[in-house]
Amino acid sequence: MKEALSLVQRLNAHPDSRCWFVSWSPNGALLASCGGDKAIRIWGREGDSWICKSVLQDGHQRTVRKVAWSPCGNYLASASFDATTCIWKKKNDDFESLTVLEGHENEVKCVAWAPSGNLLATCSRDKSVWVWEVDEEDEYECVTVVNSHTQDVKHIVWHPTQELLASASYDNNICLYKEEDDDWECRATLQGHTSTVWSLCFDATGQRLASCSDDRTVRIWKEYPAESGQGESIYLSWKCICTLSGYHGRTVYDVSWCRLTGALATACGDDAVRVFKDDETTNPDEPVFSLAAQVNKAHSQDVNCVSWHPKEAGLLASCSDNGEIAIWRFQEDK
Amino acid sequence: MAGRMVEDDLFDSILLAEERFRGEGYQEGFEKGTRRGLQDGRRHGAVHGARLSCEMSFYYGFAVTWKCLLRHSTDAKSRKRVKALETLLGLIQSSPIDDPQSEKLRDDMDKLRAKFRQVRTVLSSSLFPDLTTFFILVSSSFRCLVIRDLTTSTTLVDTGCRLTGGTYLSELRCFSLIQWGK
Repeated sequence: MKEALSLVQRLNAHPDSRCWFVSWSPNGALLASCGGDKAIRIWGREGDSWICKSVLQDGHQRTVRKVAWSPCGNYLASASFDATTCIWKKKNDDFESLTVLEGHENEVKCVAWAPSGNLLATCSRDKSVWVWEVDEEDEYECVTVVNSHTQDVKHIVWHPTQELLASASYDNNICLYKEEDDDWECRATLQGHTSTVWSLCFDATGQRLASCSDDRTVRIWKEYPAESGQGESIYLSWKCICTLSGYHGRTVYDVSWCRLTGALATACGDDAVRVFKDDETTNPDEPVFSLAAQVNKAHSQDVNCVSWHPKEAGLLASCSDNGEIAIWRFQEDK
Repeated sequence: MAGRMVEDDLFDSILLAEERFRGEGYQEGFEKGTRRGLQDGRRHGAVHGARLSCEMSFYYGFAVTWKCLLRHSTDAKSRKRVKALETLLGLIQSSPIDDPQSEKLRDDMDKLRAKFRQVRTVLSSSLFPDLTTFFILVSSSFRCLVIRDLTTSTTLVDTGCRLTGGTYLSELRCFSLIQWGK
């Protein structure tokens, strides 16, 4: 079972520093990584191996925590501890800084593009979530500031098809936001984790949401139509339908749901990368996930991020506090 | 019979003297404490109320001033900005400032702060090139407003009402000098 996840390549991405995040471009040709060395590196495939195509330095004064590709693949957004979010535009093989979004009071922890490409969301240690709108002239304007969390907001992610935003926080909650009359507000608070929620990921259709936490569990949430009685409610109803506990030895820092195969990968503080698969025969309201693969010493330090390739089934990238990126191939034994 | 009772009272007043004094002392202390508590509470409330009112009034002055400055601009961007400022003003006008204990007030203040941060970000993308200083005076009921440009000593807005108790001062840095006709 452990052979199911095999190492393809190891990249010394951010030497003498932490590699915080990796993100595949929408067409899968490029991999962006960012780290404690304040730089962003773009990796591309050359033959069978991945090489560094460009280094984006001088964009930030402090650690770059996350990077996100726009749905069209022409823009890259980077969130940094220097309280700014930089938008980079792709010009041939290189990127140039288009604009810098300011406003957060302290470290920006995450940035994410909406599937429409017109909206961008950022979240920060200042407990707020900001939604920005992009217009045709590449002008970014803040449309809303929401303060639904009582602590540091660690991660935000957009629904794959709707304009629904989810945020995860140090206050153990997950908030879901939807726009109503030009107003973005928290429409649902998902409680269940007993410690910081580090990351979130929607499945391919967006019907289910996976969250991972410092409490060493991964929870799966599903949307249920709001209880009938008062007609249409603007409030959403999500319930926790599955909890994966006992698998992770330490904090689970990241979770990634493959849009192609439905496999769930996790990045853990115990240096391991795990892949779970759900049993298709079980009731969709009560799924059963089983451990399909595990690599115990995936990295020599905490694994910070895992990300499935958007086009090539089974290709997984992970990165760690030791500054390395590892590319894995997950093969299902059927 | 009567004689016996008088004797009891006499002894009581001696034997129970300590208890009686303790009781009186306690009563005095309790009343003093209550008065002191009321004074402290009133002072605390006043300080807190002033702080809250100062903050809300600042947002009000900020929004009204920017609305005034933008009232002649007709482009789409300015119209969006005016709309955002109007939302800010709406939030202020609809919040229960007369009821300090209301839950809605607390929620409204949070919403107000978030809205102000968003509007400030939107306005900070350079609209006007020059920097001048304005002096704004707004009453606690938000009815009276005076905006004065300190560099040229011109009064931009003066609603003419008499300012009564509860006034506050606020300074706002703006980006342009616009002359106003009376």
